[in-house]
Amino acid sequence: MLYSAGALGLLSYVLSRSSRGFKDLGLRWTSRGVAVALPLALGSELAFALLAPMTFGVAEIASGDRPHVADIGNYLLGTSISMVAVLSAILNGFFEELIVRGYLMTEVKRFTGSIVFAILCSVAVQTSYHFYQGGPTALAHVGTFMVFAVYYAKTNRILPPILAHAALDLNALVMYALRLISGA
Amino acid sequence: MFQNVIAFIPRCPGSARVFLTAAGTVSAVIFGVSTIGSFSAPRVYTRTVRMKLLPNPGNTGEVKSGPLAVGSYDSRLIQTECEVMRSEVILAQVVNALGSNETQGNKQLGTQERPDLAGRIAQLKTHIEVRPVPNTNMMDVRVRSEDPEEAAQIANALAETYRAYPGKLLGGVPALVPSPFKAEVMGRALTVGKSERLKLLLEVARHASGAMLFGVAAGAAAVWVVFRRRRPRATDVLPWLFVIVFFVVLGGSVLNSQANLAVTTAAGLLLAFVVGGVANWFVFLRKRYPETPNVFPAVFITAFLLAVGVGILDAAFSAEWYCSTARLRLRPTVPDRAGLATAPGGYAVYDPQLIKTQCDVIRSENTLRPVIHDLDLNRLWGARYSDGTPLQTSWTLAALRRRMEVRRVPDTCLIEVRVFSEKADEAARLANGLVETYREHLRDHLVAFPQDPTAIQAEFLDHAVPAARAWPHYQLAQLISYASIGLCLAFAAGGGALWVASELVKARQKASDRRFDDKPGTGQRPDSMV
Repeated sequence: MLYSAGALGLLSYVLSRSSRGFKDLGLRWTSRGVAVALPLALGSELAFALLAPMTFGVAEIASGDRPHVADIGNYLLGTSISMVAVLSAILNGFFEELIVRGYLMTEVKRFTGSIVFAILCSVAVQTSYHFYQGGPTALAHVGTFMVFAVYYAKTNRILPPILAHAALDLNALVMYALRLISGA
Repeated sequence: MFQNVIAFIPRCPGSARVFLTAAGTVSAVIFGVSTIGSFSAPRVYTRTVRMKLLPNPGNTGEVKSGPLAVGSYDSRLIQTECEVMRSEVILAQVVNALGSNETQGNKQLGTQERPDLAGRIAQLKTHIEVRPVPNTNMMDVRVRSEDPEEAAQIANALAETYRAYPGKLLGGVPALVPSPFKAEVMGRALTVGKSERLKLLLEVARHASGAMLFGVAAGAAAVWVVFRRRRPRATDVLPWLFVIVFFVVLGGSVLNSQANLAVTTAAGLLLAFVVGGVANWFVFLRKRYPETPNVFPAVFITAFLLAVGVGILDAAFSAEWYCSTARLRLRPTVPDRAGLATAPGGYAVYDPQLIKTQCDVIRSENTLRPVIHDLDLNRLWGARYSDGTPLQTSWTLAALRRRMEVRRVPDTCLIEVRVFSEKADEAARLANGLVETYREHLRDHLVAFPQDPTAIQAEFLDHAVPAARAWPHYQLAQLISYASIGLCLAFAAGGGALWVASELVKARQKASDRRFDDKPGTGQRPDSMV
């Protein structure tokens, strides 16, 4: 959590040095933005669900064995869920989306003038640090990140991707908690 | 966003009074009822024993550099020992010791019946909590019971049993290295509690907080209902509903002492987000398409309810799944394992790569094949899933791998083998069979290579027992999946229906405009031009 907060503080400083702020990345608090986050979260989850069988299928063909699904909840949360985990899930949405989506896409677009390249860069960077979840899972996340990136490129609003990301993380946390509570 | 909620109160004279009245009344009622209920329920007493792990003088090799070297502590060791303390190998001895007296046995934990050993262990487990004391080599054993004397007796029995526990070894193999630590009991649990009054005060404070949260939700709902004619700004809907739903969920979890506040907060946030978001879309689209105001809500709700209904039917009629878990602890066999230590003062058995390797060994064909053979799974599953002919072993292997999970218990050297099945006893037999077969492999290896420095032992801590009820997570997860699919479908169907309806309205309007234009004397064509 400190890491995320520190990175966001650094981003704020970098933006302020060029007389900009989070508002310039498209962060505006509106009810509409919150409401849009709901279908965005569902759409990105759908993209993941559609892509996951493909990536796992390709991995199975390539390796000749059924790919092992990493227990990410166990790895990240351990055997108990604290309030810090909830705050961390919320903060992670801001951390990832503001830096890898908002800032990276804005800068790449500014330097190259290409929206498509900005989308690809953002999705590639975000996928790259999800490989700890296993190759097939990380590649399945490409669908989720692509939905967020295309939405941001079209609207220049970052609040819906942030909230959608936080909602997906919270959902994963609740599902893992259900598993723990059921004694499994 | 939430300034809409706060700004609403000065915008509507009288809303503050409505809010305070509703919030006060609901808070008072809930506080009263929950406090009376809590005081009339039997009181639960907690008794604690503190234990300390010290270097074992018998194990000279490990005292200076081991996990309990002077001036250091190892959180992984303490975490492992906390899990061992709550395991079957300790609790079975405690149950036997306490249950030797028939009267005492019947009194244990308020039960009048005398269940089997596994049942009594499971029952006892729910009353025990073992926690490491942060940054020390100590752990606290807390026992809850309605009888303070009983709680103290169990706590002391647990501590004594653990202190005397030598470790369950594999037969016919070289002796295990002496334990690098010994446990010391730091004072006995007393039957007289010190902080009962403080606990009562905390209980009352918890009820008051829960009641207040419910009160805020009720106050917001009351203002919303009373001033409904001034409300319908699309921007107001989401924050109001968010506040109401979130505070209700949070209040409920605060009042329930068993609930995990973090998990319910996350669930409340999600639920409030979904309810508020959907309501916002209803109001927004109603204003955007005034000619078809009810199409989106009607189709959305129908599609969602249909999906959830199908989910409920599916959960009710599909096969129930049972889950059984067996646990084992990895232990070193040869004293001199310094070369394998992963960190100064650490043990190789805590090495994540070693544990992952052992997990893969349990998942391997070498372990699965004997289990398939011993339990005759090819024939059994052939009769269940095929036309009665025995299945091919490759198919059974793949099916078994899909039904099992092998993982490390975080921050410990314990491995958990979990198996799912439609039959409770089958899940337990499979989990136990896997662990026993794995231990056989270790035993064979140890007999063949007694001085192998990489060899390890596995101690069977918890046998898998048939689950008493179906795995609830399976059905809950199934329902949540259906609800998510339902939301996706509802948005798609609602959006599609709204688009079709608005196109139809437009077409009808165009047609009527054309008719209006064609009628002589009623059209827009100015007669003056003629």
